[in-house]
Amino acid sequence: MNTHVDPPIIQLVDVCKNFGYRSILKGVSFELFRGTQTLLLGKNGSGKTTLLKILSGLIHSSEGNVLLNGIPTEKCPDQLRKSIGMISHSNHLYNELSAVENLRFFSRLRAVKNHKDKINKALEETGLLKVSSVAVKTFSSGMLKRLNIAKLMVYEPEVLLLDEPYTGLDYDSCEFFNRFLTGFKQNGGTILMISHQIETCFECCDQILILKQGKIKDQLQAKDYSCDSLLQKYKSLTV
Amino acid sequence: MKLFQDSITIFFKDLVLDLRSMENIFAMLFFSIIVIMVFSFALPADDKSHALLAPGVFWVTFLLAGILSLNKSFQIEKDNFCLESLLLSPISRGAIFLGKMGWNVCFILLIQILVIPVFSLLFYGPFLNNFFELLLLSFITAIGFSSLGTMLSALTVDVRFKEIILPILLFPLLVPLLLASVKITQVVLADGSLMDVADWFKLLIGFDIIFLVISYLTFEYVMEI
Repeated sequence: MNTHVDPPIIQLVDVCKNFGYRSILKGVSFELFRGTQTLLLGKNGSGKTTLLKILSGLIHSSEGNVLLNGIPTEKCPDQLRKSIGMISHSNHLYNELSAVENLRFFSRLRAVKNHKDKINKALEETGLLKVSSVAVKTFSSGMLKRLNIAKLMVYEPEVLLLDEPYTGLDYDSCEFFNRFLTGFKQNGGTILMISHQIETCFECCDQILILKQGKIKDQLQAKDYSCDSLLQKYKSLTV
Repeated sequence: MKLFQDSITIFFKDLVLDLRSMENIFAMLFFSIIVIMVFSFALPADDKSHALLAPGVFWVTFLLAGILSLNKSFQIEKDNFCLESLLLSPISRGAIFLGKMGWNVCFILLIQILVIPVFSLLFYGPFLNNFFELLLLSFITAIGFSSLGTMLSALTVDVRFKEIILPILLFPLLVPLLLASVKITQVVLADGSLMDVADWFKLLIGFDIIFLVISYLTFEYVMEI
């Protein structure tokens, strides 16, 4: 049951996606609200990443609609891109450029105001200030992830789409990332996250979506579950 | 205005990446030298033959080396999925095209600055006497070549054997451009009047404008694929 007063920032209505004869998503519908974090669970190949790509506008759905503030995203592609920040499996960084050059390049494309100050602040908070002028090809996977988090800090998007964001992060970095997500949420940001590390992200989540074979199998409220009971529920639903 | 700002941002990013790694510049330069040397050994060694064949050999070298530049253009975006990041930015797809096309033109021109003296040294001495005319002609040719090439390079970036597919698609479409360039070069080398090749100039400039506009307009759809 919807308990939110504000209208949803993102709405998916009967979204289907086919690749040739293969149907990946079969009528997916859900809503994302401001100031909430949603965890999207599902087995490998259930369509999670495809769903994230549709939400980000990287690919289009075969059927159905994605609405941003009630407007179909095809009608406001630039608004969608401005609103969304994404972390996925890959780095999305240029190896030959330094950390600060990467941030400067992408913040220019996003027309971020006061980007110099924001870049310095983000590098400081992510602990990368000392290596800001080093080419990112020398970075460890954890440092690359932290640089991607710094990118999000500079962009200040309204919606975060995160595909396995904890991969490659050590314990301290996970803690730091969770603190960042909590702060982001408290400022009215919306988060949709794919993660198999349920224990790490469960505490921050408000809503859980379980995707099975391209369909939303269940939509759960995190407050009704403990981490263990959620795991059991997930296992029973995805068998 | 934002379109040009974004294009310039992408242009300078590509410039920095290429100048920092230098591998593309060296690869194109050495490839050009090798092609010129092969022609130099394979063709009759007398001055008359070289004078006759110089325009054709020069533009074939341009074409073969230029393909290397186009192949790398979108490859750097595929590494680490940076293309996704570009596509997630609130910029016109046309800005990506203009930035990349612009750097490809400059990159080819940079190589031509180095290749013309080498060509003069290894194949046909008097070539260097017309350095600036040939550089200007290279610039005009590079616009058409890069416009079409950048679009096709984006189209084939996810295709298997793209190094083979790109020339197969590109070379037949470039025939009018190369024909015009060869004809104009013949006149430039013979110190003839450019009025004699006015029609070829019109073809060259027409080709540039048509393919620049078509490639710019279709690039958004190419990126969708």
